[in-house]
Amino acid sequence: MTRHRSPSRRRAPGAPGTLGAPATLGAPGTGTPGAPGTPGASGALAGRGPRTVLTATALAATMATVIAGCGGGSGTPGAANTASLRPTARTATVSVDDVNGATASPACAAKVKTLRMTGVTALNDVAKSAAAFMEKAHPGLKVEISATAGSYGQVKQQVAADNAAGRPTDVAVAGFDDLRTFVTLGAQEIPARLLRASYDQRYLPMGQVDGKQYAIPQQVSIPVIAYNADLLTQAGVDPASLSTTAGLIAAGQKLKTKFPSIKPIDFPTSGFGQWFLNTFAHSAGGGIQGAGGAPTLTTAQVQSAAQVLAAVGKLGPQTADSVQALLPFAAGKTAIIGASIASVAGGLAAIANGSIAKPFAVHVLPLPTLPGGTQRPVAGGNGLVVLSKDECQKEMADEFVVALLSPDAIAAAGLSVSFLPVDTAAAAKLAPLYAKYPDLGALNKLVPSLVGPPSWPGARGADVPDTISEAVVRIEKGQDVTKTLTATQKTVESYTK
Amino acid sequence: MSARSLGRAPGVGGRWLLLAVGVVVALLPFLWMLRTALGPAQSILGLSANPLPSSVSFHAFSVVNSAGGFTRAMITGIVVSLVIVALQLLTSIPAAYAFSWLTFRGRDALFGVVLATLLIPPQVVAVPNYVTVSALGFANTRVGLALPFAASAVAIFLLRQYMRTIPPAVLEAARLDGLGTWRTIRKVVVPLTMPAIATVATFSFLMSFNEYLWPLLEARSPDIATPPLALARLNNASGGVPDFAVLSAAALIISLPTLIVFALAQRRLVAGISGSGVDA
Repeated sequence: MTRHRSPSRRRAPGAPGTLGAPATLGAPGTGTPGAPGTPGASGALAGRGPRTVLTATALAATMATVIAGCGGGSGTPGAANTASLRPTARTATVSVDDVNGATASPACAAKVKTLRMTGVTALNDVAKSAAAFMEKAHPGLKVEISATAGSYGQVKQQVAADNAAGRPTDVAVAGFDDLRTFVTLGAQEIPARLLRASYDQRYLPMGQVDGKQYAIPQQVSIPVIAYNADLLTQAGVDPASLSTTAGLIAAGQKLKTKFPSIKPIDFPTSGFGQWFLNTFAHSAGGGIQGAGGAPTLTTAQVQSAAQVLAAVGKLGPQTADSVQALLPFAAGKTAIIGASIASVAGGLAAIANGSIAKPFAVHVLPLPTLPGGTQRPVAGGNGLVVLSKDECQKEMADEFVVALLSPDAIAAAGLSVSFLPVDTAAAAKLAPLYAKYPDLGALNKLVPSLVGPPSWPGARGADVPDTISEAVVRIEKGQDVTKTLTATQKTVESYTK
Repeated sequence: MSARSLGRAPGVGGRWLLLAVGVVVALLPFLWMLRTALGPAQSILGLSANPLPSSVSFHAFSVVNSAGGFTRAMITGIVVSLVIVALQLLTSIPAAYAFSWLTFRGRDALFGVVLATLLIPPQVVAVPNYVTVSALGFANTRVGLALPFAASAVAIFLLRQYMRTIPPAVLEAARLDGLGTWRTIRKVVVPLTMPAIATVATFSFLMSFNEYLWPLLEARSPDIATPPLALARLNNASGGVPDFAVLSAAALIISLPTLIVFALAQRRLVAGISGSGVDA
């Protein structure tokens, strides 16, 4: 039973009170895109009558409609330059007929009505082609593609959430760093019979955890450097000297002297820091992970690699985000950058067509080696994992994976995102791309010397890459190399136990 | 000018200067977004201090318009946000009234529990909510986008604070006139609480329209993507080289509904906020 409350202490409406409620409500507004503009807009209208406000908002709405709906029209000189910078991704021809045993049994094909795939946005075009193939091959089947995730971490979160909700994912795109997590999420071993004869078997170790094949590598990348050849020539730097870390640092110093307003070297740190450190160290024969899987940050090789990054840091502040590093380089404001091979095709195309700034001569090389070292680039990227536990779901998921790995699908994806082609037939299809960008084609020759990405065990193994990247940032900012690596070694050891 | 006026001048000038700096700081990102959207591709990289672009083009807006699903995402965002606003008002107004004026056992403790939910980060409840919504069969649907936001502790709190400022004599008079609880709410409380309701509605719309985490989890199909997701897709689909003119144009379009809502509700918003933090 309820009754009205008897009158007690209270104030009149509108009386000034505590700031508790507004402060609570104010917080969410801080996350509003475009919110900084709102005070000004509203301020201009403050104190006006409702008609003025309505007129102003109607004008704004009309303008927005015209702008959004009509678009394109002024034909100003800049207009031609505002086209999308992403290289065209064509539709792929997908098939599984060339792989014995890839097609699901009729019984399972009749039973399975839904296949779910969780991937990253960049994979969407290829996934759509494969999904269309599956739905055509199996009438009544619906392939649901979730490609809203912008990172491998988000894929992992979505898969875990779907598992919890009883909507399990059948196929997922797993970052190599996350493979162990996917094993705990139920990744199934992938039989070797699903591989095409043209699949480049040298990539397979990257999809293994403890010797078992849980993923088929699909998009494999390596760290590279890109340099502005015009700036190097003017500074008197021989590009051949960039093959070693000593030559790289010497080039950076020359560039800094010659062009004080240009950043000589930019090695983006966020996510890439540990990758660069590991690749430098491997060139001298030892990486950030030992044979037993334990972190090895205090070895001479890793210390030498860290000294290189410290020297790079002394040349100027390093950008955190890889895209933020790539764009100033394309605008001619950075002389040498570290990057992933995945962004090379897009970057070279944007520079060549003048989308960003005046075109200049640009070349791409593998990451330099430590003195006396050899090329042993550490692979990055992702593989396809099958998470279905039900036998029929698994059969259909296997078929879908085979479809996704169709040579033409890999080749089509390679045009827009230039990962190393994991299929020899796809590589042959990409010959025109490599003819256009010979530097890109030359990097394919490094495949025999590729080193698999580290896979960190332990409850917090997934936190290790970011922890090491953060240590690299501190080293580049001037912290003592030995002390930082020793402290980080202790931290990541605790994560991997 | 009197000596007193002269003495006050620096103070007034200082306030104006401070306000001007505040306005510039607040508006600068918006202006830069506008400049980038209307300028040539990647003009943002020029790092020029000139607020005017070297040339003006609406091509970026055209690209956004032709980008798959962006217009649909805008419609989805607006519709879902309006539904959330309606649901929150439907649930929060009776709840706030009950916490303000009805007496029942455990009322204050229950209100404390409602307030305590404000301390739980949305990331913590995202997966449980997703499990619940999926169990109800609303995964990857527009209903699923709105459902977890049907009730809001912030809205209940704000409305309750405002309702407690209503003179009890008014409610007493309504009771003497024979109005029951629901009619009292509808005929007396809601009209008197309108500034707070406007505040709640505005903030609810802004938060819903700009929500990113929940749609990322719930809206797997591009068909039901909301504007923040569509913007993220534009960025992620760029193959590593985003076109900032296109992204800025998209961000500008996305910010317009919130600007319009804010402009419409601004005066009531101020009244609602200033009148709600009473007698906590």
